[in-house]
This record gives sequence, C-alpha cells and structure tokens, in this order.
Amino acid sequence: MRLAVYGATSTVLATAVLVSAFQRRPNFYSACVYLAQSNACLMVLANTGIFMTVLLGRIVQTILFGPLRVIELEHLYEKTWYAVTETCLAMTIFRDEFDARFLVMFTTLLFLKIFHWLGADRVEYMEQTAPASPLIFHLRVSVTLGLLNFVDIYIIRYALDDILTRGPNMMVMFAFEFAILATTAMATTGRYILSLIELRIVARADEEVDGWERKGEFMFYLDLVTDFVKLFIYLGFFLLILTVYGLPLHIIRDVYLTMRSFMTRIRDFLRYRQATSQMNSRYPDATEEEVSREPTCIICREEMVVPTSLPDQQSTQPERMRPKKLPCGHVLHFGCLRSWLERQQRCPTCRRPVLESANPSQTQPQQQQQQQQQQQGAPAPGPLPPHNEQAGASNHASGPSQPISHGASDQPPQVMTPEQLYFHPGPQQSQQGQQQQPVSLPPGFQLPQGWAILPLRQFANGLQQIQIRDNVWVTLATVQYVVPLGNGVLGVPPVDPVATFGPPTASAVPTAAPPAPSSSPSQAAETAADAGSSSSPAPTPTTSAPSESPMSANASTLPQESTIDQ
Amino acid sequence: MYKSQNSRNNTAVRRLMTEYKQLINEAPDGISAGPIDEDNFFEWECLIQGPEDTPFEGGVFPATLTFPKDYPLSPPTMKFTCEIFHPNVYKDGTVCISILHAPGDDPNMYESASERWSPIQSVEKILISVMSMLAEPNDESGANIDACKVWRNDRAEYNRIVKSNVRKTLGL
Repeated sequence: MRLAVYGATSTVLATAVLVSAFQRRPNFYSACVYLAQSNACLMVLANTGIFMTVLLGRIVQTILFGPLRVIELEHLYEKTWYAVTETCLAMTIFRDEFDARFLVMFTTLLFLKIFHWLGADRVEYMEQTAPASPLIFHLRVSVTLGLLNFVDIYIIRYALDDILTRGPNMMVMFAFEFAILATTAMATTGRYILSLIELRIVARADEEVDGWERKGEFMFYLDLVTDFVKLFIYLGFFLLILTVYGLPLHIIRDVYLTMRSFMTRIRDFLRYRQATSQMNSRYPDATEEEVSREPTCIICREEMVVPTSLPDQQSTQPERMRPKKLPCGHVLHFGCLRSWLERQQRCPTCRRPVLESANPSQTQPQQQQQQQQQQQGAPAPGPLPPHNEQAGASNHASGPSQPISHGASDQPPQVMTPEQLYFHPGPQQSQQGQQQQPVSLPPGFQLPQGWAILPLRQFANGLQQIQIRDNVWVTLATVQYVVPLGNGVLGVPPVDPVATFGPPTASAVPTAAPPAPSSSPSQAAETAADAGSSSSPAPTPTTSAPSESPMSANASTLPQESTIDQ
Repeated sequence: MYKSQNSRNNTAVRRLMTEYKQLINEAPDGISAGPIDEDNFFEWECLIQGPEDTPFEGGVFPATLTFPKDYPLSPPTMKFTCEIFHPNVYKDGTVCISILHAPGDDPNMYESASERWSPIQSVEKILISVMSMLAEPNDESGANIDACKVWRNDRAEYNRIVKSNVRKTLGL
C-alpha cells in the first residue's frame, strides 16, 4: 500500500517534470539538456529510478518466493541495515571511483543479497515443516537457487575480467562480495539437496524411519567447508585491500564473525567426533537392573528394553533402540543419545559432560563439594546442589545465596520441624490475619538435607523478614544462606543454630562459637568458619529499617525487638 | 511422494503424543494443553491459570506452543495469545525464560547452561515454570522493559495493570 502511494507520487512527479520540459523547450535535444542541468529534475527522475528498481525487486520476489513470512521480513530488515552500512563504509575506500556503474553494481548486490537470504530462509523452513503445496514450493526454490548461482558466477567473471584488463579498482570489492554470495548460494543449494535426499529416503522407506540418520553429519561437513571457503575469501580480500588501499573497515566485523564461527565449528566437530566415535564401546550397554531403575528414555519418553543374550532376538532390535549407559549412570536409547550428542556433549539429565576430560573444571569442584558434604553429613552451604536444576530453571535466576553478617540471640533458637514450616505467599505486605499456607515445592525438587523452609514476610519499605520461631522474625540479611525458591519460599539451613544465629560473644570471633550439643565439633567448626568467611566479623546492623531490625546493638533484646504481632 | 508430517517426524510426534496422553491422564492443577489440530502435533494451545495471591489470580491465560521438528532436542517457543503485562514476556506475547532457550544461544549473555533447555524438560514443566514466572518475575533479564520499570518502581500500578488485563482475558 505504502509502495503504491510512493509509486504513484513518483510517477506523477516524473511525468510532470518530463511534460513541462518538453513543452518549454522547442526540441528533444534541448529538453534533455534542460533536464540534465536542473538538479531538481534530476532528483525527481532519480527517485523514479529508485521506485522502478524496488518495483522490479518486488516483482521478482513475488515470482520466486510468493508472499513472505513475518520472520523472513524481520530477517530482511535486520540484515539490510548491516549490508547498507557496510557497503557505505566500503565506498569510502573507493570514493574516487564513484560513478553510475558503481551505483548499478551496488543495487544489484543489495537485491541479490536479499534473495540469497530469502532462499536460505526458505530452505530452512522446508526442514522444519512440510510446505503446503510441495510442487510449487520445490519448483520455486530450485529455480531460485539455480538463478542465484548463475548470476553470482556471471558477475564474478565480469568483475574479474574488468580487474584483469584495468587493474585493481572498485570491482575488487564487488568480485569479493559476489564470491561470498556465490559461496552462500552453493551452501544453500547443498543444504536443499540434502533435504531432498532425506525426503526421498523417508518416502521410500517401508517402515517408519526417523529421518535420515546421517544427514546431520553431512550438514556438518557442508557448514564446515562453507565457513572455510568464506574465511579464505575474506582473508584474501582483506590482505589485498590492505596492500593496495588501506585498512578495510567494512569487513572487519564479517571477518571476525566468520573466524569465530569457524573456530566454534571446528571445536564442536572435534568434540562431537570424540563423543560419537565408537559409541558402542565407549558407552556400555545398560544392564537389566539399570534399565529397571530408569525404564523410560528421557529423550523419546519410551520404554527401553534390554536385548537378551540370544542372538536372534538381538537382531530384531535395531541398534538405535539399544539402551546405553553414560559415564554419569543415566541410560538412553542409542539413537536418541547420538542425536543429542550432535547438539551437546553433555548428559541431558544431569548435564555432566559425556567425555571425561571435556570440561573437568566445571564439574569437579561441585562433585568434590558434594562428596565432602556427604562425608561430613553437613548441609550444603551456598547454592543448592543440582537437585534444584528443574526447580531453579523455572526462572532465569535461581537465587544465589546471600552471604550475610550473622544475627544474634541469647536464647538457643529451636529448629523448626517440617510440619511446622509454612510459607507466606510471595512479596506482599504483612497483614493482619494473613493465612499461612502449606509449603508447596516445585515438582521434582528435593529439599537438601539440613535445610528448612521458613515463613517470609515483606514490609512496604522493602524489609524482608523470616520467622525462625513463634513471633520471632529475623531480618533476611542477617540469616545465612537464604535462597529464594519459587513463590516466596525460603530455604534456610539450620545447620547449627548456635553458630547461625549465634550469641553476640561468639560473633566477634566466629570460630569460638560454642558447638551445638547435637552437632559434632568438626561440623560446628566448619559452619562457624563458613560464617566467618562470608560475613563481617562483628555483627553489623542491617541497613534497611533500623527500627524494626533485629540486628540491634543490644543483642539480648533481640527477640523482643523483632517480635511483631501478627 | 510426500507423506504427512506425522510419519516424517517420528520421535517428535511420538514424544508429543506421550506427553499429551500424560497431560490428559494426570492433569496438573492450573494448566491444560493439547494440540490445536490433531493432524498437526507441532502447534499446541495451552491455558495457564494465574497463580494465587498474585495480581494474576483469577485469570486464565491462553498461549500457543510451537514445537520444532527436532523436538525434544530443541525447545518449543511459547507465545501468549492474550494481552499480558509481565517483565519476562515480550509485548507480542513471546515468553522469555531460560528453559525455553537452547544451550548455545544466549540472548542476554548471562544464563548459565544448566538453566537451559534439555530433553528432560517437558510441556508440563514448561507450563509450571511459566506459572511460577508469573508469580515471581525476574527483572534482571527483562523482555518488556516498561513492565520491568513499573514492576520495580511502582508495584501498585503494576498490580493495577495486570488486574485490568486479567479482567480483559475473562471478557469482563
């Protein structure tokens, strides 16, 4: 619609200019001279030229692609900006040679780029869903890809001819741009052919098959080669421009992106190869007992069956249905595992790397920490152990623990039993008669050993308090290791009550905290050490709302001060 | 020459069917979901109840889930089809939470890999996560900046907008 209005205006203006020129001047020649010498006329005519070009582009697009999808339009807008700015930067290098031919080449380049993006989007779309009318779709895609390849190569030849006869000029840039485009076009064509082969294989197969198993591998090689060729072309051009003209600003971004993508691909490729090479021997078959513990495959959610030792039964079970055990102990179908390893070389359940040596730095400390805790029977300080993966994933932030200065109380606080524990719904103001609700933990979440859930309330000024026993509320910042969980639930490890909410005398020298009668000395020492490491040695008043803060200097009055009627 | 999608994309369709059956048999409180059209298992419609004791309480929010062909290796996308004012929901309704992001691409450059998509997630878990996201927005990675600002600075106004949207979804 906007295009129609723009077109109509342009055409009317251009016609008006032409008609007036021919009426005012006696003959054709002088009319042309007049038009060429008047800037206003030239602008009007140039505007019409732009309109004609856009119109031509739209017509070609309608023929080759039909209506565009929303996502395709979004991609276009996004990429066009980059393309235009980068080419404008490139113009600065060749500013002496700016002429009509440059303009024509530039426009051609822009339109061809757009068609390349559209083509790639279409092929990707085909991989995701089946097109509504396959015949027209495939006709269009194949014609488009053929045309693009042909045009790219033709222009490259033209540009090269020009460079060879007249020495390096701005055609160098166009030869390079079109070489990149040609690479893209060929990669898209390759991808299209791979998809066609997959369709053919699936259509021919008698039984139901799960796509073409080796397609992922071929796609991988294709991408690798494409990236390599692109990198080669970019670097060549970069060096050429650097020697002949100076630093080519406009492609630095592309060179960097291609380089990074190439590196990532190589790294992924090596890891993938390592993880999938000799999959049969690398990952042992799961035993009956292991399968019975974890009977469904986490990827396809279907039952796993252990092939019995009888050879004839084994042959009826396809290889991809065989249960395989990962180093972390989780069991998956062979085929499901392989397709997941194409994406990530980690266990889908616990995210430990499937390659022992792949990423030791990321997992070992955590494991060690867990082992230590198990040995000492001490609760987990700091962030929750991986149990909360599912629960923590429910929002972006699985809350980090908040290291705090520790509170003080002269009475030994009691540890709440799970039956006593309730939570207040989320961040709300404390109200009279607010109901307490039973704890509801997110499904799949297990409270770590030694942790408790305590009621939370929040005041209008942002002060948050949790209830450690009847009518005793402690400001959040004074409690150690508080982890917000879901809807206002707080986890607090009542590790060693004395050390956690220890007496004021102990707080100056945390290690001197008297061990609780229930806990072993080593445990208390560790807790106290934790307290010391993550807190200031002396109890410091909380910054928020001093009047209500239990962290008053006079610790003996703490329970009374922080007692607030409900 | 071309079979229907159902036979082409086996793992995805079979797994979606399994999940659908499970959701029918043991429907969790406050959510319901299923394919819009049983011939196409890749487009689901779901309803989420506003969590209690939040301004969303009482509302029922429709959304669509779009599954990729390689589900469950890649995550689906979720888009509310009603007006929703929330820091982690884009203005067009697209939900932005970490478990719906594939490992590798990180739009906000700070989510850790352990919070991302993995085949262990499911439609049910996604919907439960979205429900808890409604109750507890995460303003660190805002998708709707206006909602972030209002949520952070003027909670009463936030509650008012959300409640008026709830009334709209109920047709009041």
